[in-house]
Amino acid sequence: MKIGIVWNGIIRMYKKHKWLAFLLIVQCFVCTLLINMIFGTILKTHSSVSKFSRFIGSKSYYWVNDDPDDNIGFSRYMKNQNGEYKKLKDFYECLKREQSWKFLSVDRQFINIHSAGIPDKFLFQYEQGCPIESEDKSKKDVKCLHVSKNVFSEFGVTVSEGREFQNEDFHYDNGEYIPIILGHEYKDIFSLGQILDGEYLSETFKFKVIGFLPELTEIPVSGNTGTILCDRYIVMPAFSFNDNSEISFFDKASLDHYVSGVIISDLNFADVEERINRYILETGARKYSVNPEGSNVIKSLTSVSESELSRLIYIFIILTIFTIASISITVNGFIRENYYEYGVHLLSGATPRFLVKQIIGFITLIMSISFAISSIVGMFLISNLAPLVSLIFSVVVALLSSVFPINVVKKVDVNNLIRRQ
Amino acid sequence: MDFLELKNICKTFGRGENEVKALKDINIKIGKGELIAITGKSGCGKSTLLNIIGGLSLPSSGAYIFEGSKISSYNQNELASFRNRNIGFVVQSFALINDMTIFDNIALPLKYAGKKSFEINKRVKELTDKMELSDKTSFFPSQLSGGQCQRASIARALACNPRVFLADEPTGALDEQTGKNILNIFKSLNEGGMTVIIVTHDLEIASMCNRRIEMKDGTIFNDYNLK
Ligand SMILES: Nc1ncnc2c1ncn2[C@@H]1O[C@H](COP(=O)(O)OP(=O)(O)OP(=O)(O)O)[C@@H](O)[C@H]1O
Ligand SMILES: [Mg+2]
Repeated sequence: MKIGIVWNGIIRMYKKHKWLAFLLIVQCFVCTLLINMIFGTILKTHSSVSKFSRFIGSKSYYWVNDDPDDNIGFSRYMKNQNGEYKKLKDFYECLKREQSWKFLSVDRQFINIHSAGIPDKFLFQYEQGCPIESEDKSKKDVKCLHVSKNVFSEFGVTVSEGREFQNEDFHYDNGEYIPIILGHEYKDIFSLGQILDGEYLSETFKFKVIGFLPELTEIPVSGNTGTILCDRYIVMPAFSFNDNSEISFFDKASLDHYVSGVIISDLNFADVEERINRYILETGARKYSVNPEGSNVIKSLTSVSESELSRLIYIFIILTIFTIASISITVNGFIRENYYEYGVHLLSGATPRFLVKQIIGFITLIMSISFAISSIVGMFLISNLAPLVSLIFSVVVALLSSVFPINVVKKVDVNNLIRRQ
Repeated sequence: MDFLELKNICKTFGRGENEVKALKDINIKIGKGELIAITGKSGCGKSTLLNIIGGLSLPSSGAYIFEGSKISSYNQNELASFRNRNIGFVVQSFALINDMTIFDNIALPLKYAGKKSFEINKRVKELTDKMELSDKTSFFPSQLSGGQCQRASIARALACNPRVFLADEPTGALDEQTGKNILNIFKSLNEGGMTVIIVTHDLEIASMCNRRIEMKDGTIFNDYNLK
């Protein structure tokens, strides 16, 4: 019975102030969602940093690429003047052979797939806002990564369906299919075993879907600070022709790309750079440079989200303080408004504790509704931990915003209540 | 042993410049079954005294003894249960909750006493029959006349069979005839053995009581038996 009256009191309080209560719930909901977003961001950053660190350990990370403005060097290479192709190939071998580091060939490309049904989000440079559109609408230039075999093992990349690349996938015989592994978002479009026609570096190939990557697979890429998300990428092996007497355009273009990649090493930047330069000198290859920015990849991983995170945290803190204050002030208003009624309750045998319970109950109800909604929304949108985060946050807000009203109630003078009508 | 005793009761409100000595060294003994009127000018401390007797507030100093228990040293929870079990309180403004039905208003003390639903229904029916409100239980206070409201508030005050019935200007908001009817209810309660204390301005009402305590400036000016 006694719980019954407290509950009735809470419901009456709620009904009397429907709109205010509704606004408070919305406010609490927004706050709870914000803390979930913050938590989610921290968790995501943390997991991608820890995943990345787990794979490279205490080693540093550098990336190698050619000078994109060196047009003369590039055209000389493509014409294979003075055996430039052989020199670069030797340099590539040196990179791969070096014992004090691991060289991973990984770079972004586009491949042209003959399929009209590919949505724009897969197009090359879609995220930069300038997707490449082919003249022929049935052919699409889509984002692609070529990888050497060790990329999968070094970064713990797996497939969610199908199989990973095997040694023979990196050697191409005429007439074979090129095996490709598709990013998670391709699942709705292509299926395992499907054969696609397409062009890669002006050469026509048939591609075969051999697997799909799990959602949120990230791979570090040359020229990119941090990792890239592979959900909208096609991953293909950095393959070469098996038997090739004549040096073709494809050989030259693909080698040029394969030399771009990342180095994982214990060496410091100066040592890596010194070795690279020495190899270039020894092989006579055209200029490739190594970049130290990659060594800060972990820092950049965190700092990318850090700026966004700190903005979220500011908004969250201000909104939370505002919410706690609103609840306190609103409930305090209810108390003043209900002085007379409280007097009647006390006259009828209620203890001051009853009033305290009613106040706590009202605040708890507000927070429970906000908790329930934000748990569900948060679970779908942010993370499975949303209910836990929301619960902890709701309890803290409920406690903090109860302090002031409870103090007011405790000071209520029973003797004074009735005379105040 | 006296039923109810006030010993050297003082009550002070505020501090410093705002200090008001509402009661100054009050000593009263009240026996079981008395019908008492407390009179005096506005601001002389009548309500303050009644609130202390009713356990709504505590004296600043002095002792309030009720059937051998020292109420003045009770804490808030003990006071609440003391009020619930022993005191029926009626005030000039009726003190009904406007958005509760008459039934719910009357049931309030029974709920605080932890009674079961069927007991509450039975008791409220008894009370509304007695107060001639049987057909008004689902009404809200605003739909009732002043006399009906006051009868509802008396019904609520009587709900838990109190030992002492306190009324602070119970007829102040009512016309003469309705006031008389209310007063007759008090008289019949008193005849049933209940101790009744009425604070009033109205000398005619006071003259109907057995004992009259006249207050002046927070002290007892006169205390005499009328019958
Ligand atoms: N809560 C309070 N705070 C401050 N002063 C108070 C308080 N309650 C009563 N007083 C003062 O105590 C004195 C006695 O007040 P009380 O209400 O007991 O008078 P009363 O005799 O009931 O008057 P009335 O006939 O007008 O109801 C008054 O001067 C009043 O101003
Ligand atoms: Mg008074």
